[in-house]
Amino acid sequence: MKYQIIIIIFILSFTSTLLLAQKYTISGYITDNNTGEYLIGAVVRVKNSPDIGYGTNNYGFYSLSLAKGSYELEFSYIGHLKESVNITLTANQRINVTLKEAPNKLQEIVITSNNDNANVRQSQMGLQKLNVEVAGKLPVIFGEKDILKILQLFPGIKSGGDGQSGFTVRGGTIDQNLILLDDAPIYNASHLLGFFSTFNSDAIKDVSLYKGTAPAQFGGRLSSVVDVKMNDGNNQNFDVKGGIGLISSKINIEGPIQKGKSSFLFSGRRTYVDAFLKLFDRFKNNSLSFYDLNAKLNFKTSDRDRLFISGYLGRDALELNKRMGINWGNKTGTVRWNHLFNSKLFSNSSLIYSDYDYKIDIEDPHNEFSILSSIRDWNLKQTFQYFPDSKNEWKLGYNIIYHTITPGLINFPSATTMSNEEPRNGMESAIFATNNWQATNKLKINYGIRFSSFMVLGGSDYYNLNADKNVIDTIQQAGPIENYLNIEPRLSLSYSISESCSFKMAYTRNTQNLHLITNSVSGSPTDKWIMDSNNVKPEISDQVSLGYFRNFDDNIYEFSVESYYKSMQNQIDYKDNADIQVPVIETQLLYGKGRAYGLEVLLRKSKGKFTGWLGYSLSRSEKQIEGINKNHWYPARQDRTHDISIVGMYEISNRWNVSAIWVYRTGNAISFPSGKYMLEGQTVWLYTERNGYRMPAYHRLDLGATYKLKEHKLFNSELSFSLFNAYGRENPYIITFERSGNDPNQTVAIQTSLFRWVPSISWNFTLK
Amino acid sequence: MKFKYLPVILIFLTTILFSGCEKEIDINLNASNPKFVIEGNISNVFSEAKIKISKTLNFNETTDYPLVSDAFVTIYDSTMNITDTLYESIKGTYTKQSLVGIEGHTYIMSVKIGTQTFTASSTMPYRLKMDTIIQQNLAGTASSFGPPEGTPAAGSIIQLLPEYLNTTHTDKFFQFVILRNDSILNRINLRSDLGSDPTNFSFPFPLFVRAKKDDTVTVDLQFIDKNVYNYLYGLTQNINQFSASPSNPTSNITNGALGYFSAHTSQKETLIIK
Repeated sequence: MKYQIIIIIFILSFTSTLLLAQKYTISGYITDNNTGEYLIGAVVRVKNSPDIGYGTNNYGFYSLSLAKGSYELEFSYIGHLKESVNITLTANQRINVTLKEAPNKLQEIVITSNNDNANVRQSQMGLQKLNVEVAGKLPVIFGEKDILKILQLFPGIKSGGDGQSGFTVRGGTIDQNLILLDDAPIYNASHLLGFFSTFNSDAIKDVSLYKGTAPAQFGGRLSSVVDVKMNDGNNQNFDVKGGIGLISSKINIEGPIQKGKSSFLFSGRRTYVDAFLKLFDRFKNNSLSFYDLNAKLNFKTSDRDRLFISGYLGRDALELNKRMGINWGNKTGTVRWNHLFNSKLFSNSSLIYSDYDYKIDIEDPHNEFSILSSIRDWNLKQTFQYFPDSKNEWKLGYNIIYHTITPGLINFPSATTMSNEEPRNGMESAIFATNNWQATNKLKINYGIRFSSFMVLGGSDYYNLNADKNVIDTIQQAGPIENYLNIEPRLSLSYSISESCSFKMAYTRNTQNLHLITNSVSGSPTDKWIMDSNNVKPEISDQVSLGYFRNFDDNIYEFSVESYYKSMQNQIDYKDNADIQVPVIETQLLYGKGRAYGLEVLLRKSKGKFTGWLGYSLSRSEKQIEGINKNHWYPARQDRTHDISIVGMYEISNRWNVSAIWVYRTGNAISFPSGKYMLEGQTVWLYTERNGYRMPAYHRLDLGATYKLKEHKLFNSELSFSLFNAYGRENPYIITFERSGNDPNQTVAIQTSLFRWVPSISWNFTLK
Repeated sequence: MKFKYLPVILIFLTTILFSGCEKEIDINLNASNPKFVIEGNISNVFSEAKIKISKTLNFNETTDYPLVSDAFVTIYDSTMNITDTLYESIKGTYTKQSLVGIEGHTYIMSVKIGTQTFTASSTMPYRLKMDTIIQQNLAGTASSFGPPEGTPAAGSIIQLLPEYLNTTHTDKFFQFVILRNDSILNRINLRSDLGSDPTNFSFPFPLFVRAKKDDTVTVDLQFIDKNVYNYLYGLTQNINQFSASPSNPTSNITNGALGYFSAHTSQKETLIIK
């Protein structure tokens, strides 16, 4: 069996690295001089052999092994001054380094690489990293910088559209993205129906998005992993910053508890649209608001141990006519312990809680009830990072998640009771091993394997369905209903043709045990999460990708082309005329296969007064499911042929920065009627195929400017202006078909669009 | 920043936030081959056996829906082994007044148009009988159902509570068709469940109707068979464009015709709104 061979090769390659000749190890943490933040992806170079570079891990830790001798080590991180250290290596050494911010930081800002040619050199493919500071320079709706929105400007990562929060990656669906905040999954990453993301960028340190090519320590989603790390909190000085905008304000406070040893961070945001709405008669009974809070504590308990406690709480509330209220939000908590066993073995243990729920309250005098639906996880994750020598970097670990999904508890205050569906439970677990191996000076290979299992736990009702998708009987048993096992190999390699040019290729298998049932392409707060069951099988994808990376002009320009082909199994779609509000949702679902392929081009200038990028993707995503579209292949709803983003930022002077974004996308695939007929006096639409039509193309120009105000003795501040949808394009939100009022035989298509010309202004400050 | 402009900006913001802009657009929708649409009903009530035959139009066509004449239409009672022929009474509509269905019998409709024959089968379910309907005005209290108060006066929202006679045996798929002043207002409460004990059925299924004093409101309780239930369910999804996967409701008619054939019960209770 091919898997056995993979495993044997794996074990051999692991043990062989243990047997290599004895060397000495240099290890330590790299932090920011000013804030004490651990720097993720800071680079350590051995000067005498510049080919060897090492990055710090997510906790700012590095380890490298060299033979006895004298070396000059150079430490660097974007926006920071380089630091050199001369050492004579005769024993294992700990070197902790702090890096100072570069004085003229603004000009230094680059979006991806910490290392000038890291995009070319690293073996990882399909990775988009984002520096949070760039977010502040781009125009955004309502003046709120948003890391998720900016990621959607890169090729292969496609936005859902106005008023829609979800995004799709390489032809996947929105639920195929794993969004992690300090390792805690966020099940709905949006506020205000998608106008804001749940990430308050003031509290965020680092964002990486893997386009289905994540290494083996990640798993559970087919399309992407968005790994968001919160700031740890300044352990050197108190720091207060904030912003006041037209519809929301925010504040971020951080500082040391015990200088250099422990710190706290607290960050909050709240909108006040609801307060203004009360001023208007028309809206006084409606309200829409959200808030969110991020908090983190960080303790260095010993030279070898660090403890982090972080949490997030966000809530949206929508009230209509004082009769119906919907509120929804995420709660997460992470306790993490970093321990250094020795200079080569780093351990990270996390216990994570994550909860998403929504509640609908109907307060009608005759029909008062509420519906509560939630998904809750308890999650234990252990990763050992082992640096056996200068060429290998292993990660081994396991992850166990206990999921509980409450599908919709209906609560009548009156005596009338209705049968509720029992919460369902599932146990998702995985063990993984992955190695980042520098095979030769030119060849880097990242290989790994993940064994994953999903146990459908009993204790609640499961249903057997017949071929017509009707319930034939109910399974009630205490023990596990089903156990799904999968083996997921991962491989990513890069071959450097020269210092500034490389080829990469990758193969990745991913599986997914949680699925989102949604009425739209891009999600709404009341969408349902479901788990694997006796009927729903784990989704599986196999992706092969190839890429060419080339930097020009001393790494001022970066260019890359990536292409991919993804084949997917156990894909879910709705049967014809599905109603996703029914109690047994599985009666509405059909399963089949999918395929997605495409080409992504990125050209970026990341240095100088003018920076920006141009991204293009050409792609296709299709499904073939028995019972849909006469069993022929059909476009998936998220299929879009062309997607273009042009982003430019220009620094006019020390005070003025201007920016512009232009996007163009082919419309989503959609089922429109091809004809009509009359039945019982009503107009009925005649459909001929699934998703055979396209929404009109979406395009939009946004403009932005920031103006740095004169320094005040207490604070620095800037004003940022933006104009969303500058030429007022009416982009379609939905299209419906109706009988024309004047003539019953005439039918018309009505397009609803949301935003034209949204101006905004906000004032952001940092206390000195 | 000049703060006197702030209110203007706010009005602007809230307007765009809460009232999207709607417009008619031209979409290039494909032409489709015309298909036959058959709407067939037989009930336990005199003069309700009626089959209408028409054709589909392309989306952009504005002519009347074409009616189909000269079809040969029969309904066969397979329980009694009797065939009745229906005759074209008005263009495209085929009827036979004396044809009254019986609960539990299976009927087979056959429609021959030129060389094509379309057939469908439907079994008339056993029904639950309504006793009376009680009117309850919801005056002064707003409901979250229906359009908000203050919209052009079609009347206020009235709750109708049907009461039922105990029965020994019914089937479980039914719908209420509500007529106001003889025009169909809506079909609501398409239901598939009478609860755990159908012989002792007391759940009132409140019906909400917008009507004013002296309006005539008729509630027609129809028991339908399962295929027709599924068809009508899909039809509601289609008309309202609710579904994530809009398509044609699954018809019980063979040979690719659209529409349905339903042998259903009917009980109409009429009341004048007080």
